[in-house]
Amino acid sequence: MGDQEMAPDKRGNTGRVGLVTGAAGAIGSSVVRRLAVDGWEVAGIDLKECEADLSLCVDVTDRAAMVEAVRQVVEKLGPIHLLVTAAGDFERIPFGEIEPDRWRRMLDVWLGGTANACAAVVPKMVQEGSGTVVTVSTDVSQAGPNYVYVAAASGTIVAYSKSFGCEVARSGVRVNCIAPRVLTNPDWVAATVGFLANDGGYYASQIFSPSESVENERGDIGGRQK
Amino acid sequence: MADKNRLQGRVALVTGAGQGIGRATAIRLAQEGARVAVNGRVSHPKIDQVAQETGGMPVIADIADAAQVERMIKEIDERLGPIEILVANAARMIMRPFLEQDAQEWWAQVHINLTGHMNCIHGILPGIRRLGTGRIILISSFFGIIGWENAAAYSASKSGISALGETLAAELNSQDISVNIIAPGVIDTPQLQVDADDLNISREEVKAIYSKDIPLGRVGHPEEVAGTVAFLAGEGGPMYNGRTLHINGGNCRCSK
Repeated sequence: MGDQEMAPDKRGNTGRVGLVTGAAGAIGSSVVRRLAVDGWEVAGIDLKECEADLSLCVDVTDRAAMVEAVRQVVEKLGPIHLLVTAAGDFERIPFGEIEPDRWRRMLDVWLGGTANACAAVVPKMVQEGSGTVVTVSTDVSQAGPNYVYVAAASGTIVAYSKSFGCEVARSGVRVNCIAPRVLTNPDWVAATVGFLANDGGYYASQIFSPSESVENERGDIGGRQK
Repeated sequence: MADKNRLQGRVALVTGAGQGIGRATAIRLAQEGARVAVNGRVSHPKIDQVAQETGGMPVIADIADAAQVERMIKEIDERLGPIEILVANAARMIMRPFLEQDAQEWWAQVHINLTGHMNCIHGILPGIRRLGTGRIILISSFFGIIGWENAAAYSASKSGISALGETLAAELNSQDISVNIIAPGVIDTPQLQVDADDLNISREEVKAIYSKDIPLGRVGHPEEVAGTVAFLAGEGGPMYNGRTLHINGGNCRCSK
């Protein structure tokens, strides 16, 4: 991000704390960098070290460990204003060719990881009466032949986010979901997070799908309906 | 939050910019550095006020009239330069039960809400293609996604503009020229008065009624829609194309 030094915080985020899961991955690390440019204090959670102001090595599928990690973030950086759940588990596996343990792990990372992060962070947001949550799914969540397992596992995030979003909106917490096209430029997910955090005050329970082109959008995954 | 460098020097046309979403959008785009053409159907002090506030240019044209649109676009081109951003916002809504609405009322709405913006797009597209870059942002409505009682023509025309946007995005198929749709929920604009009159209650009362069914518990602000326009006109332009952004306070039935 070449504009890092030129735009330290034009958006009034100084002192606000964001937590990103999957922070060492392609999407997560782009989100971490973007939030830093936008002036946020950023904590990152992943299985391995990440570039955030505070890096914590935690498995998102471990609820107790996530609760403890969030406690540490709040203690060291302050209350969390923004949660971005970007931990996913992506592998193209045709139907019938997945081991049961592999499938359970995939579902556990997507749905379990997202639910664990929300469970650890959102109650405090509800208490405060404000907060922003951005979950990350994939656009194959709407259908993706040969992506059947990722589609199902990441598709849970769409349903979860819409329903959860409706439930906590009354408390001033805005939950939205980004479902990017597979291999979309991670910076576009990060830009959408930046938009939702700063200019997205009237969005809740919505799905955002950045994509290279309309043709791609209708192309190689075969007759997907909107 | 506005950043005055984001749209520096780019020329934007906002239709129906005298009040509500159009006004807020013109102001926001100007804050981001754009040179704004402030359109109204007829000459009105509100248009001059917005033009003054934005340092922009008032342009009077009934977008339902292709000849007036052509004249307007020529005038903008000569005075500000080629239009790079179109915010198709002007709208007309008459609420009446379907069977009580005559053909004239039907067409009065469709001619502005749908054909009017077709006229504008038709007028600016050759220039945008020459420039090689452009952002077309169509303001639809959640009425056009889920329908609404006593607003058949309005809802149908808004649904039509969404389909027009999706089709155009597919046809142009370029990251440099993107076409997107914003489908606002209930926004606190003077147009809410039309809903209030239809229900025979005050604007404040209609806001309270709508707010009960909105997960975020309130109607939206025009400035919030303007923030989405600024995103799609700027950074978000290349990464969204043919998309509908549903800014509606959490109405799940509207997302897709």
